Amino acid sequence: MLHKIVTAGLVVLGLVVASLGVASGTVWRPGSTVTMTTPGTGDATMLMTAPGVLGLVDDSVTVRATAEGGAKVVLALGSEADVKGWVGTDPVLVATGPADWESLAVTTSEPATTPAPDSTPEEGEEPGEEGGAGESEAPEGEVEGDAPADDESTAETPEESAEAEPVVGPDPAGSDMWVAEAVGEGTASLEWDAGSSDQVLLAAVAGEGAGAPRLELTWPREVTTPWMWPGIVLGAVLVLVGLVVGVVGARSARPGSRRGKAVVAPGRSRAETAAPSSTSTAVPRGDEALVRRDAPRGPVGVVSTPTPAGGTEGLTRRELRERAEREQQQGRGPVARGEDGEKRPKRSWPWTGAMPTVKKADTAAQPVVPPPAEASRPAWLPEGTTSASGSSWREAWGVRHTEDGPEDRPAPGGQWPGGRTTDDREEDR
Amino acid sequence: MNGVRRHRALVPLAAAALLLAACTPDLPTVEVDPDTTVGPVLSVSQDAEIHAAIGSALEEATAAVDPGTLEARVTGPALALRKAELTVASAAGNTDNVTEIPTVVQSRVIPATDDWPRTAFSVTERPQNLQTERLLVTEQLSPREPYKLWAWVRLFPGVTLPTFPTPEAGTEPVQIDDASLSISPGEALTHYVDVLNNGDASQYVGEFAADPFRDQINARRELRTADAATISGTYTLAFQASEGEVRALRTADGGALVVGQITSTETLAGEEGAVINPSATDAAFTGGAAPSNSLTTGRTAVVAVHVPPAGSADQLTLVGSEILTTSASVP
Repeated sequence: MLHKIVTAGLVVLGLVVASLGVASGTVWRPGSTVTMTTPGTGDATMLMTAPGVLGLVDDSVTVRATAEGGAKVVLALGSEADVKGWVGTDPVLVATGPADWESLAVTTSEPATTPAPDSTPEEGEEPGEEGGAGESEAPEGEVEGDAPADDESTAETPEESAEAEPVVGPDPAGSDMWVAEAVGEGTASLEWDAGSSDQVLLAAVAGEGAGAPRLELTWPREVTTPWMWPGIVLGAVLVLVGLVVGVVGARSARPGSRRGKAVVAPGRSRAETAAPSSTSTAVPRGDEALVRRDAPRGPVGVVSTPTPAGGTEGLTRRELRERAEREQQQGRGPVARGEDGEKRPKRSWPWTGAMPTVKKADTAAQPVVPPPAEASRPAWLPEGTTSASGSSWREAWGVRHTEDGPEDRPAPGGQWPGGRTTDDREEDR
Repeated sequence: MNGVRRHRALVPLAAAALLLAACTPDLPTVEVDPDTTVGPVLSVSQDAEIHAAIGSALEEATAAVDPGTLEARVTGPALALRKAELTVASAAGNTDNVTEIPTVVQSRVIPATDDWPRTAFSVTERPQNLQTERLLVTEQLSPREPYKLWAWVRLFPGVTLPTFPTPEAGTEPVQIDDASLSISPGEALTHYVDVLNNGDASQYVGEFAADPFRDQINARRELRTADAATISGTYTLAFQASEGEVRALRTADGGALVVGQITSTETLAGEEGAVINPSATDAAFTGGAAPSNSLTTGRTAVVAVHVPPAGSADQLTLVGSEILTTSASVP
């Protein structure tokens, strides 16, 4: 059972790993382009990229900017000094880098006159006031520069809010400084080779009522699938290992494997045709019919029925003779099934590894070799026989020699040894 | 058995987690080129486009004999000169007097700077009337303004211009009071004005090599003085350097090419009863006023001077000039 679980587990695991590998290369494969967008919100009508952002993923970038309400959108590429100079004192959003694989991080950058970033909305309305505030302070003074600017702006705020001026976005289209430019209504796009990090992008929404532009950068990406082929190969290997384990386990189980599936007598005789792996012992077993533990499942299947008669089927004649001899010596019938007549295999002496015991009644187990009366008499001849002309054979086979000729009469319990030599067929048994 | 099953279920989950983790690479980082040297502010193609825009603006104004569209692309002395030419042209009914300014450029000088205003020089090809080449000065006053034609001069015949760094490298702008020259650009102009006014009597006459413009002025002065004598009158021709109207770029030898504006006032006054007929040019500016015994003509001139670096014993050399009447009046 464990073997089946191991096999199935390996195959399933292999299939899962292979399918995960395929998925990593197809379904979960990262897209071949990367697109990052800015939030599209902010107080400024202009958005610029920091140096290096255009070439973030790849040198070849497609830039797209959209504005709400179909306003005029301008995309311009120039050096960082040119873009910053053009923006001047107006508030501008700066895309500084990637926030994640889908979006860009955007900060609001205040112009040079107020170095501390501070996104108060009223500063976007009046660029002139910023310049005025900056002139009155040293450019390096951060806190001092902020305070008068805020004072001025707050002083003017009530007027502005009373007037409710719409934001007018400055229009960078047509400037001589731009290396590349694209203008559109509501959306504009251009493609650029960002090999040098000096060129930055300016996206502006021009005109009245302008909002912040939404910038979208798209790069091509080289996609590798490092897990796909290793996953597939590993999964295939696991499946193969599982199948091999299954085949090997199945083969070793069929001919009656060594593992104990059923508790049986360890000793048994085998049909010599059940060839694989089993060690058929030629040691004569007990006279009881032995039930083979498993029906042999080898390629040459010899089905053995556990009957006593059948128990002698597979024995050679020599084995049969030796068995009969032993039974005689042991004083039991040649066919003794066992005391209770059951078909259960019974350990009978000698089994493999048995220790010989000396029994009083069986002192004849080892036949005492009498001194030969005649020199020419072989030792194995039982006493009482005088003839060497086949009488030992008769004796062994229970054929009585009478004056009338050999009387064919089976010895008690014996079997007909075989063919008869007389023509007398009266007793046809 | 349950424990084994749990572990079996965890393995594909762990594999999936590892695969997903491997699929999410790190965010890219912003890389900035470490090279921080300032490059030229314009590429050659950008400069060519600017000149094309200037040329079309000039042609349009000439064709319409109307300076109204000039201010988009022309400024400074060039604007004053061109307006004067168009005034004369409109009075004359033809545009023959309009100076031909080709905008196909044979060499450029581009500044490398992060500041404004930015000045660029360029030498045009020979005009079709086979006059000498023009040296154009274009300027971008502030970031949001386009490059405009600030001035032009006609190069003197046979002059050799100083060498500049290549347009791909860019050159350094020179301020009006730059001290690394033998004379600062502002002083160079005032010294030259003194030479123009006083001739050989000027203390600075030795600083400047001889040039055709000075010769032309001197010749005119002599001629008009003689004319004044015939009418028992006086003639004055006085030059003034225009304050702050100086543009300069560094040359390859460490000196600078300085282009500056000079104005002149010429007064020819005769005795009572004399009649000085203004020339056609002057008449265009007097507006048809009746001639009188006095005529005052104002002119605007642009000169280009090569100033050697400090410590050099070379003289300042003029390479080109332009002078046109821009006003005339009779009392």
